[in-house]
Amino acid sequence: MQSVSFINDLKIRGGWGQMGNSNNVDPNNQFSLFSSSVGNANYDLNGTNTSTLEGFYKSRVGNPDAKWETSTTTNIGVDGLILNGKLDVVIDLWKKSTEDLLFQVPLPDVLGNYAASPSRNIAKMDNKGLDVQLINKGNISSGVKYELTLTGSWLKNEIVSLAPGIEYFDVTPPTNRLSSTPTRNQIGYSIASFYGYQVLNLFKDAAEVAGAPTQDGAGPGRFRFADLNGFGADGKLTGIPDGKIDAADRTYLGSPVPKFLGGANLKVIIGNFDVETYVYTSVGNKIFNLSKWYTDFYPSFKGAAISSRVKDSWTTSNTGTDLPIFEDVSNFSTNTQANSFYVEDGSYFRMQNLSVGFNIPSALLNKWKLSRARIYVSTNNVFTVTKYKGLDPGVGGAVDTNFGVDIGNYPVTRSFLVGIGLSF
Amino acid sequence: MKNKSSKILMLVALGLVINMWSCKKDFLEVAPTGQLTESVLSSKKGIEGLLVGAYGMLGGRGNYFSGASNWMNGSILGGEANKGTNSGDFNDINPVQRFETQVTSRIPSDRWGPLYEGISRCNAVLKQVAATTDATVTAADKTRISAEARFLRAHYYFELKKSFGNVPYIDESLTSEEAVKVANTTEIWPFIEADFKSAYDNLPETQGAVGRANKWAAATYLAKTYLYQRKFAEAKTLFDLVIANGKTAGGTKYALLPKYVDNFNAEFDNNSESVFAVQSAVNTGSVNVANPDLVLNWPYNTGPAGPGNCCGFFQPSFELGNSFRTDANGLPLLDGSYNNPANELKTDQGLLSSAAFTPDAGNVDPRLDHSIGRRGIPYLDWQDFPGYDWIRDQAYAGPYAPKKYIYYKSQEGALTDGSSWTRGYSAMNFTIIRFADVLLMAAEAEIEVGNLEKAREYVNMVRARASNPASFVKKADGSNAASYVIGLYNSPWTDATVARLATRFERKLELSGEGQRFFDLTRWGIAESTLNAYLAYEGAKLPVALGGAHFTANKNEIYPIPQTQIDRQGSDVLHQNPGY
Repeated sequence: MQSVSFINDLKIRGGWGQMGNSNNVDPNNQFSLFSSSVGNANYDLNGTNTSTLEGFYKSRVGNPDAKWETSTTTNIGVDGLILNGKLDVVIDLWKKSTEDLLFQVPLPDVLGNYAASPSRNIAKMDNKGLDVQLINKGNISSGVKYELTLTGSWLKNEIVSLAPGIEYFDVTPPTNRLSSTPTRNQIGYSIASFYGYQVLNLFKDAAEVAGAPTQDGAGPGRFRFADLNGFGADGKLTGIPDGKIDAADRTYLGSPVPKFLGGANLKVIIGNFDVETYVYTSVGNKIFNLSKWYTDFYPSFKGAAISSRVKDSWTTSNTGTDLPIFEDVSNFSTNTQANSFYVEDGSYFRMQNLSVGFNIPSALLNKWKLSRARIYVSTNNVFTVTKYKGLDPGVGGAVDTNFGVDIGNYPVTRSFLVGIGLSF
Repeated sequence: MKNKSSKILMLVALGLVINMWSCKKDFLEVAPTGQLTESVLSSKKGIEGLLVGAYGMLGGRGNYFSGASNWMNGSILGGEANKGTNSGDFNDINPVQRFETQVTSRIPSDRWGPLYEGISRCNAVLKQVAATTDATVTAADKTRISAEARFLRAHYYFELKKSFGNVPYIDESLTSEEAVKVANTTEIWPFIEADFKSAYDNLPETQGAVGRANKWAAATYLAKTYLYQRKFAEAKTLFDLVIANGKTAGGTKYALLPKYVDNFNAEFDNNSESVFAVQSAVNTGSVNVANPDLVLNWPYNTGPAGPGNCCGFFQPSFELGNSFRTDANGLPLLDGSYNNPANELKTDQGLLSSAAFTPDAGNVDPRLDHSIGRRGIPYLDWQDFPGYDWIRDQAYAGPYAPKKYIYYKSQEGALTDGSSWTRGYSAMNFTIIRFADVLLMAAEAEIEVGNLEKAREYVNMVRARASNPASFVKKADGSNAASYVIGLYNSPWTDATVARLATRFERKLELSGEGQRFFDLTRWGIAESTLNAYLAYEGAKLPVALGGAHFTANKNEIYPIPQTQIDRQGSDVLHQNPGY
């Protein structure tokens, strides 16, 4: 190794591990239970108008067979210190396969729809990724020191299998004003993928409506959906466009899982001053911007706030827009269906934090009888670069199977902090 | 000695350890607390509680499309009303009222699940009755409880049958694994019939609790089941018995109330006309039993001057309003000319409340002003209906507001429940079958078996009650609020077609807004012609809501099977309905 002079230190790591997990599983998961509840089962059988008798209903279906989900992680990594100790390199190539993923698969309603479904071990999911971390620190001159940390992760997520007979399951966001669900978890796609109609364009005139596949509520300036599929006589998808837009034509519209996540932390010390900043980026993820339902359509809570974007809505003289006609109509071709109009590129770059500090020189400290004094200014959420039209591309989500849906989530605020730290 | 005692102590400790070891694995299993396992429920109290729960799904428990009122599934689809409110509000309904229902629509899905919940609760009752070892559950208890559960199960399947055609028939004998594999390809009328028949044979005539189904409710529902299958002779036989001998669960002989309007008033719940009803109660700790099915259906933005205050849904149609026009003899315009410009009811469409308006001066059936809130007519004991100010979006949904099942000003607080987001939760029962309905169904059966005059007698009974002047809507000075002219069919009925037309029209007038119309039209086989005429007429007046809408025969008679359910059970189990 001595002959390879630019390498100071090199380590190759490998790992394999298994971990069990049963988080979020109700302790009563194994039991079939009944409950009493005023709201769910009581009834005024005596006709009193002001009281009820206690009623019972099935509140939970049990699954005695549920077991832990198992994650198997395999990784191979390299740690190195190179270029005269100037650059720390940590590289990890990893794969995490989760088997027997626990999920509350909704039961068919023919069994009743009040009982909670049990968690079942239904899915296998693969996550693969490459993580890279680079750390570079050093002195530019005697009074100037710096430390730079770069991290990057490439990620691929795929649902490998679901329980026998289950190809997919749909999940509705906590508030859904659409008549269809925007999220589908399907084999071969990433978790929580977006699902709905593909918008081809806005109908430009009545002639286009007449010539297009049959679509309920179609009209100039409204969404024209792509005819991609059809139901056969057996109720199964045929894969062949059938000249009719219906539920069969819904398709995969993108994934909320980012392809790349990166961050950089830079700290510079110049004499008594220090500057530190952290930037973060998420690339390749889509966001289902459900907030546009509220802001971009006239009949959605008529009279409530709307976006200034609607000034560019479709009109007969403004046909080059992708914003549909601003009209008092709510139907299949306007604001009731999950479709690609809501799906936006959620990539962004954000300076999360910037702080500047000043340490009072020791000469002054002695005079003031202090052991240490520091003045600093810091701000977070400094700026964001994104094409996303919602309030904040850093959308969270309630659960794994249903994230990246922006229902008008409260955005991260910008804050400023000024402080003085004194030690006596 | 000390040594010996410590040895004994050690032995005891060792024994304890061994004992712990030898414990079975269920040492670790703790029964859930605060919950009921299936075995606890086989006691008398458990079974009765399950039965209460099975009744509990009748009103939908806050789900707007599964409750027995069928304001959406029966009345709006039947052209008696439209969604009301404005275009964007609850827009899942927009395509449905235009007969453009998608397989993914929320409405069929919301209807399907709770009705099956009701069925599942009935099956749980029947399972426990069969399994119980509790000696306090007497043979008589078992008979009655099973019969009530089968009555309710038949009701829930009847509702499903009306809206979806054939659906998977699941009874108490199936396990969950078997139940989800039952296809929707078997005719379910025989099962519904068998359940009602069993209920009829086994239920007592009177019940301790007035809300329970009794023998006569079962007889009526069984006759209705026959009628829906066009088994007119069987229906007639049973209706004869019901009309002659029927009584309520409380023991009152079936009879029409003197005043039509009292059928929709909580103070008259479980009256002589109430064959079977959803029991509602207020201030019980949950508004899910306080008529939640109808909670959106109040005039809009009334403030304390009006009931409910929200949300302006379920606005009666122009077409329905016109239907109440009567001729000089007080008879309806059976030729359909009530929609002609000369006969149309005058409305305040396009007028602000501040603009002057004089209500229609022509002859109308007095039931008009018990069924439709319209400008210038007293709205129960609240005030004269002001029109525009109480309508959410007149241009979208028209000038009318619902008036049946509206609470009175004098009842605010006592028979309403303000504990939730609106004042509109109320105590009035929704009557699923009332005696006027029985008479009109019986009249239909009589016509089809050839007794036209008997049919006329029944229809006239209903009309005679409606013409009781004591129940006419009055102005403050005591005079009638409009020109109420209603007469009986005095000439004998000799032509079945005419008799049929008159009887069917009477159903429309008597039962409007009560969730029946669409199902009547489909079973009569006249939905396509009637509804397309309605949509053409109404669509011209309300172009945004209904313009260009069209009813497609052999498709729109029933809803699509919810796509989510097909996804869960497979398209080889649940077959989509034709045309969807």
